[in-house]
Amino acid sequence: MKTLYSIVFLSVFISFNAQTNNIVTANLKAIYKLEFKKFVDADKTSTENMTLFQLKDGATTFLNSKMMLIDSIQKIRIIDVSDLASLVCVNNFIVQQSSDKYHYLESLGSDIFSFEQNIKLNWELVSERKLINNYNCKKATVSYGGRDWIAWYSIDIASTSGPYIFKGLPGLILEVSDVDNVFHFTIESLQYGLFKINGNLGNYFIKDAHVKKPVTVVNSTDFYKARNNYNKLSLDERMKYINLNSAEKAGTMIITSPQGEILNTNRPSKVRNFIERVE
Amino acid sequence: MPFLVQAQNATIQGVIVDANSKTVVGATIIISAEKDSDDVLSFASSDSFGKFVIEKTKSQADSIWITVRHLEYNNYKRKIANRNSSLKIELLRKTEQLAEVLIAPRKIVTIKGDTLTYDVEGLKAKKDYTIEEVIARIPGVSISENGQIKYFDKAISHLYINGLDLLEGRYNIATRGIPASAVKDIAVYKNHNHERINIGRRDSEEVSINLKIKNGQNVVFGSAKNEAAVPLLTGLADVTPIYIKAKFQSIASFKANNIGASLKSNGESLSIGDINMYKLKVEDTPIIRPTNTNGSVLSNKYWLDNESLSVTNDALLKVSDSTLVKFNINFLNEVTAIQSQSLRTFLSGVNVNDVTTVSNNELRTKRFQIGLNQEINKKNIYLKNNTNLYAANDNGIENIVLNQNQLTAGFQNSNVNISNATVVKRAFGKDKILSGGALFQYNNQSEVLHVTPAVFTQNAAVNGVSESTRQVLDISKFNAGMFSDYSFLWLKMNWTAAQNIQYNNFQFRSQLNQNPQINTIQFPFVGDFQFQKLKSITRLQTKRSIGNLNLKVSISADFLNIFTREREINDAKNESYFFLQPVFSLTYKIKNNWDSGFSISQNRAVSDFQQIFQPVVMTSFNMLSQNPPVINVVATTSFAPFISYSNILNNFYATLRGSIGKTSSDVTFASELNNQGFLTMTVLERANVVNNNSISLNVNKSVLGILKTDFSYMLSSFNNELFFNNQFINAQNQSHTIDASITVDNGTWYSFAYKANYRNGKTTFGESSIDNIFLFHGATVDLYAGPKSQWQFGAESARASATMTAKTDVNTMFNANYTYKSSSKLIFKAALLNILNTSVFQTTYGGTNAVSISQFALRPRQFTIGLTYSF
Repeated sequence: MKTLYSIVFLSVFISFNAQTNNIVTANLKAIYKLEFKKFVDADKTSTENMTLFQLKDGATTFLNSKMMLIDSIQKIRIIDVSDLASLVCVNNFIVQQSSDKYHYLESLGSDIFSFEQNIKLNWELVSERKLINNYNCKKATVSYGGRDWIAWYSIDIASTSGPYIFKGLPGLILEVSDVDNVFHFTIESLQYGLFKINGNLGNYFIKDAHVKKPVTVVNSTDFYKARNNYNKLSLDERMKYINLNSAEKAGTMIITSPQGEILNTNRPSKVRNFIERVE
Repeated sequence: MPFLVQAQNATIQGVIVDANSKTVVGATIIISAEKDSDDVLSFASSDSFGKFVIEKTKSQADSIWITVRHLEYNNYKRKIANRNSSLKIELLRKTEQLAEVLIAPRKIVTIKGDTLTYDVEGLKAKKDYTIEEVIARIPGVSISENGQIKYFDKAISHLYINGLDLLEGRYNIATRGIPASAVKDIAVYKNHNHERINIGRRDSEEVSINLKIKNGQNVVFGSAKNEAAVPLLTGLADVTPIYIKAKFQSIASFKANNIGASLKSNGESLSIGDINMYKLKVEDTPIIRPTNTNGSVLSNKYWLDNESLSVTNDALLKVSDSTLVKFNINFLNEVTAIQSQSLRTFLSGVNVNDVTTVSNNELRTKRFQIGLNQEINKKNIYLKNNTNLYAANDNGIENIVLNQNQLTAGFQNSNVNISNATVVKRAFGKDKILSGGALFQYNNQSEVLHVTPAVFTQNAAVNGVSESTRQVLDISKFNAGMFSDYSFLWLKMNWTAAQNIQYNNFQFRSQLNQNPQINTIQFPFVGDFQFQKLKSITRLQTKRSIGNLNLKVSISADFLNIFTREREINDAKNESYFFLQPVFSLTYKIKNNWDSGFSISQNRAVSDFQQIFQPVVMTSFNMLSQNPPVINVVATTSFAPFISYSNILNNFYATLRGSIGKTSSDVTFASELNNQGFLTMTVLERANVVNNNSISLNVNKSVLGILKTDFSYMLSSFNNELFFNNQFINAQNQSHTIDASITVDNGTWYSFAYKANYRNGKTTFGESSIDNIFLFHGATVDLYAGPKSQWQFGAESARASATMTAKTDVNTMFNANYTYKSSSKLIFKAALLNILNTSVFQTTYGGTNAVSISQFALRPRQFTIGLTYSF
């Protein structure tokens, strides 16, 4: 908790202006299905769609497809409560990459955190093949974030990109998963053309109606600690954290189950899975 | 050795530029041993300055291949020496870089306005072979055994192939013949207007389906199937070649089998497809009951003893964007047979009469039909002409034991029908449409029933030495009709004014005689009856929407003149009738997903030809009937409310319906049953009322691609007064019916389907009553042993009981199928049907004053192997 609060109060604030949209052009758009186990003890697999844009200069932007919707709504109006149910997503992050430099943004509660990092992936090419969506794919393996990953790429698609931070193979990565299958990205669609996207990354996160959201720039180690801490908070604690900057004091929540039983909102959260297995 | 090390460690570096020497960022540079190999020895990508470095080529060869790829440039490929080198590679920009979909997004369903488009690859399960099986997976779709497709209980109006309606209502040839692999997507058009003249002018509640054939599909494609079975040597052969071009489509179908699949619904006549014209058409009126060779409830494959052959061909020529010509020809030859027995218990106050029937029936049906349709479908004018020639011949034989009396009944029916119908519609202004049409129809029907030994000897033309009884009927019908229909907007409401005029002239000759016939036969056993009817219906109809409220009101003024003459007794009648018939319906959209409404109608009708002809007719080996000597007027009033919930996003639908109906008639049916099981039906001139009420609930829930559930419940009751065996008794029938089905198919290694039908009926006649309960289940489990092989296990089971017998009968049938798809084109199938070799199936049904328990024989255990090939 201490680390979390210290980051909130001591970090540098960068202000984003929602009204000035910085349009950038991508020439490749890929949608990946991400199947993932949200909690460490979960059997159930959740699914979200993630979008990859490759810009003309080879840089990429990778984000949750729902965040594209958030951006398109916030260009014209504030998101209201009725929109939330269809816009809230689990993996609400953006990975922007050029060369080996990664710019990562993720929201925790109502705050957006950002950090930059250099990642060098040491891919090992394996002579196994499989067909994905009629593309002949080859296998490659790599270790990243405390997990071993298997990727399938096609040299027929002249791009070295892939989902999340995975890149640097001699063809586009169509499928990548960790060996325990906790996170599994599979290509859903791939288009070549001109795609105008908003380069103002702050607009992809849900904004409060009154507070102009700053982005908190931290280093990766601090961010992973903050994320772990935030996800350990109980529901009550999260609400208090979200309302830290609010003039009004957060009231006590009473949430009842469909059977009428009052739920314990102060119960610790379940342990979340993240791509980076960092304590 | 030093050289080898140097070669493996050779460093290739360089810069990638375009024709203007501008650096190219993000190009992929691959080193391979062979020119066209995709084995990557080493690779790199160009940085923001267009530079790249491959530190180790990892090749021992003297030379290697370097390939450079970039999305916006042509591929570059060159053989280079495997040594340290620095290259400058120039890429050429692709001349025309069009937007390109490299992997199409796979959405199972796309919703655009009233059109729902389903991706076939996404929707279909592994086991699906024909497109019909895939259509059945669309939420809300149900498909009957004859192939009719319903979308939320409403039959679809058109099935298009690439936007063209080749087969009109007879689309089962296509849906059962087109392999699922040939179709790209299935579009469901809700509120669809086939006639372009209606688009923007009229609202439609019709639903249509379009099959979009894959682009790369061969011009001629289709499927061929054959099966052979033992120990009863049986087989099946089907070929459905399909030819689809932009301006010409043709579907032929050659089918033959004796494995229990009827082909009667394969290839029917082309039709005019206009509701006004259907109302003018005179249907076949078989008077003698045809030889029954049908089982019930259970799938045909278990009981249908058949030899069937059907050949059909449908062709469509698209003359222009708005003009189509369609031609079809069908031939059917089918022999069906069944062995059955039944116990029918008639209640008559305190008395109970049992009729037992054991029968062994066979029926041969031959049918030939040829049709031509021409259609002009423009924005302001619509014209359709249909010409049809139809000839059919039925020959049946029944060997019966009726209450221990042995009988043989021979049945023949020949039917020839020629018709021509034209419909024209013309638009005036933005919203007015005038339509009209004319129909000419000639029909000739000959029926013969020959029963040995003689029956009804005490009633029909008494002759002490009779050996057999023979009923001969000959009916010729001429029918001409016209309609006009004018739709317009007035007082902000859509109005339709319609006028129908129809003229019928029927000639009916009948003779019921004993063989040999010594005495001269007289009326009523011989008849020469003429029937003429002039009918005029003037109808005014309007509908209005006010917010969420939709109102429909119609009133029609019906005028009828009926002239009848029985020449044998020189008795002529000429009666005229005038009725005002209102119908009122109201629907209200309570909220987005909730609809409610009701309809009220009052209708009066007079007896038609079949209820008026005067001679006595033997309609089956054990039934003699005679129409009343008066023209009967039947008045029906009904009130039907409903409330429904539909949520297309969650695929959840529920409807609760009620119906209260009352039918009043000027006559009461009277029947008399003798101890030998012979029934005489007459009619008394006494007013009669039938009350018919029901309430039903239907719930449907689907999870796209995984689960589909249906549940329906119906409570219905029926009561009226009957005159049976010389006494008036109030007959009541009440039944509870539950239908449920569940299908689980998530595209993994298994799928499961279950359906159940439960009926609990009570028939009460005076002081006696009989309860009958029938429960039917069917379940299928599919197991996929791998991507190519599939096991299917099926069971159908029924439990039938009625309180008139102590015995409850349970019959269960099992079958197992193995399918091996050796390729996407060839399928091998092996099947074991009726594994337990169950010999009979029992069912029960409660009628007005009788409850029957009937059994029919099943096909013996069969082992079948077969091949299906799509081309």
